Amino acid sequence: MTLTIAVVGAARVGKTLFCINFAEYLGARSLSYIECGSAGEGRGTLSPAAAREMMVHRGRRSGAVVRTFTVHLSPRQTWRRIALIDTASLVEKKPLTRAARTALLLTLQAIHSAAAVLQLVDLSCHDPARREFDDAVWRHLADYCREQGKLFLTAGSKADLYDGSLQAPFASTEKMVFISSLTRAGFPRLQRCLLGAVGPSAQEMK
Amino acid sequence: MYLLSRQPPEPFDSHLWRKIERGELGTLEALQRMGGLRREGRQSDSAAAAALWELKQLVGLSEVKQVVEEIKAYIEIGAQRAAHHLKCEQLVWHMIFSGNPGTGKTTVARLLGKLFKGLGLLERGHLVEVERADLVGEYIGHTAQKTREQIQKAMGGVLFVDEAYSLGRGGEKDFGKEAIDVLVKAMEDHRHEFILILAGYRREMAAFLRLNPGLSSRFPIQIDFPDYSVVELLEIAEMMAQQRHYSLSPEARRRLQRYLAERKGDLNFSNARLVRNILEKSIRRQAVRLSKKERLTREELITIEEADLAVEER
Ligand SMILES: Nc1nc2c(ncn2[C@@H]2O[C@H](COP(=O)(O)OP(=O)(O)OP(=O)(O)O)[C@@H](O)[C@H]2O)c(=O)[nH]1
Ligand SMILES: [Mg+2]
Repeated sequence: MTLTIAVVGAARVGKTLFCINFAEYLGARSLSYIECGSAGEGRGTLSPAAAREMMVHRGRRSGAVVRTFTVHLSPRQTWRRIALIDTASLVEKKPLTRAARTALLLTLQAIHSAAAVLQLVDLSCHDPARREFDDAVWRHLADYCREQGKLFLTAGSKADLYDGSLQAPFASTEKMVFISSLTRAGFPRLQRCLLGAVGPSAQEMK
Repeated sequence: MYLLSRQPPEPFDSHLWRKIERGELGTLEALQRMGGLRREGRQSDSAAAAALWELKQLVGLSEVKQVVEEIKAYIEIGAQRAAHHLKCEQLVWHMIFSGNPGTGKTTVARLLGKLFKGLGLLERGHLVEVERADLVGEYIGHTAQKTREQIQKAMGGVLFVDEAYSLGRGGEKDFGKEAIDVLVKAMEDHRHEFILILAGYRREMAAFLRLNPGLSSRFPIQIDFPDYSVVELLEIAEMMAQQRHYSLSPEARRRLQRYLAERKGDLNFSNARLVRNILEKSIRRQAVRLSKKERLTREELITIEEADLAVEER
């Protein structure tokens, strides 16, 4: 059985790095991915390190692309496979460009096909306009997921950079899981929230 | 593109999709409408509930009600399984209704249309009721054309073929066969776009299916509509009277009961239809009787007396 998780959020919140590092944390040694955006479709298989190098560190923006990473877990676990969908960044600006519209449609489609939705919020960002945008996204997604019976979680990303000053109006602060994709802090808790009793990850068994 | 071409079983609202494509909505508005999608769904949930409630109000038909409950449960659980990426077969819902006249086949078909619309399986849920004459033509090619027209009308809803066995009459050269072939092709090609219900008297339908052995297996749901008992028919009579703001006197009720018990064994006993005909005729007779009187009370205007009852002795 495949569990599909859509990872969503505004630009540069760390969606891509999270997908790669969480997949690695779950035990993936190689990552197969399929990506598409207005420029077309691509696919491949990479080691987590190569994926980080190619998709995150080179200053590569993957904003307008929706990319699905498939992680194979051991057959003894509840979920044989996990699909992590690294969605296109949600854009505040209006009107949307042609490419942004395509990206939004792909993202909504991904959200719709997923069994769980994980919203990432950048803890290192202090821009109040961004906070308000995150908050509105959170409300609409929470509504949608409740009605559709999907699991919905919000995670504060880049917790290693967090100075403790996250402010209202972000409504879900108290329910948020804090994570850092760099240090893997918060990953065990997130794993429990998302996957339930999936069993120990490769990391924990070491 | 991968996500676009490999559509999930239930793509999100096509209306919303087009609006985003045209650039009419920003991210937040689009997300907000995604949240609202199911609210419409809720409305149709209540449409499904209303159809089911209406069905429950029908007298008798316990077996039919149970089958419909099963169908509804299966569809709802299927939607939840799909959300968890579990296999769920999209079943075919073509049906055969067999039973004597007046046993509620058309009524149930109409309610099923509403229910399936409420559950999101049919787009319109309307009922197109046809019989042999609406399908079968007079010259070669005419039948296919006529049948296709009726199927087209029923798209998104239910095509109800009454006395369907009459299509099998007349042997090999009859155009009825052609109509069957067109129906069978359409029920395969458009299996999720409309529901075909073949209806008819029990014995004739059984013979019809025996003569067309390939047919039976294409109808996974075959519902039998039993004759109503006398008690049920009386209940129906009283309900029909009530709906028309009339009421049967105790004597009229007893007289009707006796009459129904006598006639029940008749070959062409037409159940609820017979009751309705009797009631409507009785209402006219009551009017004639009352028109001869001077001043009328509310009670008199409502009551159907034994003398009004349009039942003839044998
Ligand atoms: N310190 C810190 N930096 C992070 C963390 N997660 C991501 N980053 C950095 O944040 C930047 C953006 O990360 P991405 O993973 O590309 O973010 P994204 O959401 O995929 O970005 P777009 O696809 O362009 O919208 C990169 O420079 C990452 O190295 C984290 O947990 N801690
Ligand atoms: Mg990215």
